[in-house]
Amino acid sequence: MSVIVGQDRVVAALTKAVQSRRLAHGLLFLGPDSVGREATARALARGLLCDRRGASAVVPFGCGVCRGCRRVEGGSHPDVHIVMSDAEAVARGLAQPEGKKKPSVEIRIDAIREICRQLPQRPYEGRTRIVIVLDAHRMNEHAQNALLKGLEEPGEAENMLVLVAPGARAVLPTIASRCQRLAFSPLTADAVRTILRHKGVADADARAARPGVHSVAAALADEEGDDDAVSRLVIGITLRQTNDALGDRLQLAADLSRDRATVLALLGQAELRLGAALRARIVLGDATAGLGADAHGLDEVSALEGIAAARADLAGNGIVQLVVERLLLGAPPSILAGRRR
Amino acid sequence: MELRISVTELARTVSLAQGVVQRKNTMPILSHVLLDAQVDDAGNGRLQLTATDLDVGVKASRPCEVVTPGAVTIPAKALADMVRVLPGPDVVLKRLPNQHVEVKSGRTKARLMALSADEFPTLPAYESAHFVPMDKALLVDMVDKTLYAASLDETRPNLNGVFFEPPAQPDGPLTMVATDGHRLVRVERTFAGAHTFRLKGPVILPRKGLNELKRVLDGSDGDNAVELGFHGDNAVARKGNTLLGMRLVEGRFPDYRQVIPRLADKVVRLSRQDLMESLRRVSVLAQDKLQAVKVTLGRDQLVVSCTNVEMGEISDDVPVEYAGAGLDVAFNARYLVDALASLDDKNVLLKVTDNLSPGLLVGVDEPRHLCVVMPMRL
Repeated sequence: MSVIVGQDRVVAALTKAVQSRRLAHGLLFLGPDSVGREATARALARGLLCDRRGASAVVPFGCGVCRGCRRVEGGSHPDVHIVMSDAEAVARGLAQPEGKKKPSVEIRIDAIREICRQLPQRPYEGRTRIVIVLDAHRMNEHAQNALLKGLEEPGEAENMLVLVAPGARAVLPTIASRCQRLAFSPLTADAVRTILRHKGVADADARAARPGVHSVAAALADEEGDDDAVSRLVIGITLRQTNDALGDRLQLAADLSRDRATVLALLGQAELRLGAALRARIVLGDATAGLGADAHGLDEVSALEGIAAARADLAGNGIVQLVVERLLLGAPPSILAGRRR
Repeated sequence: MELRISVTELARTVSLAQGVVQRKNTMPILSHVLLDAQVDDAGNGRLQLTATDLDVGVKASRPCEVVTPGAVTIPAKALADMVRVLPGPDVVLKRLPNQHVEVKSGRTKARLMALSADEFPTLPAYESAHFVPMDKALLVDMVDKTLYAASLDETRPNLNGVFFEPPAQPDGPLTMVATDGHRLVRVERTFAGAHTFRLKGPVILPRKGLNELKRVLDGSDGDNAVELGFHGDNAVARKGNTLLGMRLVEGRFPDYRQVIPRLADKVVRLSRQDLMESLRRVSVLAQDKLQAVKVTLGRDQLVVSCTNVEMGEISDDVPVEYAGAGLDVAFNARYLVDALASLDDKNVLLKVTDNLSPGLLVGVDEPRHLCVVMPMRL
């Protein structure tokens, strides 16, 4: 049975929602890649379809040993529908590529229509139907609008929709507004080590792993090796609204423009640190002055927003160096407005 | 699990599953069939085969020699392909450890990769449906006369099937209706027990399920009996030891009564064969997709014509009996041909009002089967 590591807040929220029977019918799992969004969605499906659900010990993620749980894990439960792009299905070995055509990276309207056709029907085994859309931002606009129809007319049947996406802005606002959002945080180095141990990877191997081999291992390798880079990045981002140390920041942007995976991993670590700093400031009572810049000109909220925007740009295939420069140097609103699609 | 069964018997049983198992690869288990060998209280062994794509499901039970009871899930296509060419006369299926199944027949021995029987979805309890006996020929005929008109457009799921409305009164007819928005067909048939389906209201039978039903019934021999029933949101047909279930289509069927013209004053009487042949000749020049042909009515005269700006024109005279006013109206030739082909009578009536109202085709002696075709703009 897969485990969820390093997402205590999300797990606590889901547990509470299931216990109080207030689980929303649309959930939006937000966060960077490889932090457990899909695993959590599957685990939640397990919990809802577990033959022993109701027993408090198996809330919210199921017992993992009953027939219901095993079929969810094995991908053969008739009431769990996992929607993904053809490219993803081929990459996972779930589908054969059709001829010489490159499989589409988009989730097409046909797949969504097929789901919407089934939504009004009762779940096959009569309990709950769980639809998980992986990389929901891969749905093109038509597909998202088709899904919206399904979201709006839940019918009498018990349906539960989980959308996995990098950020709320990656899907249409009409969809995001109909879902309860759960933000997954980037993994700490300890969490990554735990996951790798579960997967049977020794620490030494994990450190040697490079980006592209395994995204989690890549994050770990970079976290350990580039502690210095994370610090520089955090300082750079917090200075983005000022004119201080412009040269250093430009140099940093050039240094960091190595590859997407590394930058994404570093962004995750920077986000963790800034988040921790912000929480510390709130707990310490410094928040009376509002969440704007503190006495030293540090503005974690704006920095975190900057990171979220940079991540979205990277997901949208932005040029790495330009994205990092924009993150570190900031940009006048007029340019931002022009570049936003 | 270990069982022995005749190759021909197994081949026939497996072929029942072939139309049902999924070709799309969304859930690997659905490309498999579940084989369950059990011994009943009287000591008779039975093999039950189960296949489903979650919309349509089939359960077929056959007598066999059971050595060890048990169940296993085998890829449907591999099993069907293999059974077809086994030397026979008998075949032994045996589950091995590590999820493999051994297939032994004559001097042939094979090992197939299987999945745990436990992973196979639990089908609805088709056998607990309330069944009503029907005549097989009648059921197949009603399906044949309606299914072709059901919509293929997946954005309108409520039209992707055939509307099924049993009568409230014992002597009333069972009504089946299908439409795709451009044409509509309604068939009514009376038979004993038609009012005993115990449905809360009319339902919509899915297109794929009806196609499978036809396949199962066409392939079945023996008597002319079949039973049809409903269980939860499934329709179930039972033929001998085979059960075929289909999930009903959700949604409301449009009010078809509004579409059937009641005041069509221009009634043309003609030979079904003549009009069909004319339409086929004329549509040679009709444009591929629209198939628009013009029907011109005059006294005892009906001319089918078509003008194609790129290719030329054609017209064909059909002998008719008609005493009304003249009229020009355009139809999709294919819809008219489909409708004419599904009618049984030698002579039919074509009823029209004007060039914007639907046309009605009905047999001279059979008012319980009528076809409506929407006109096209001239």
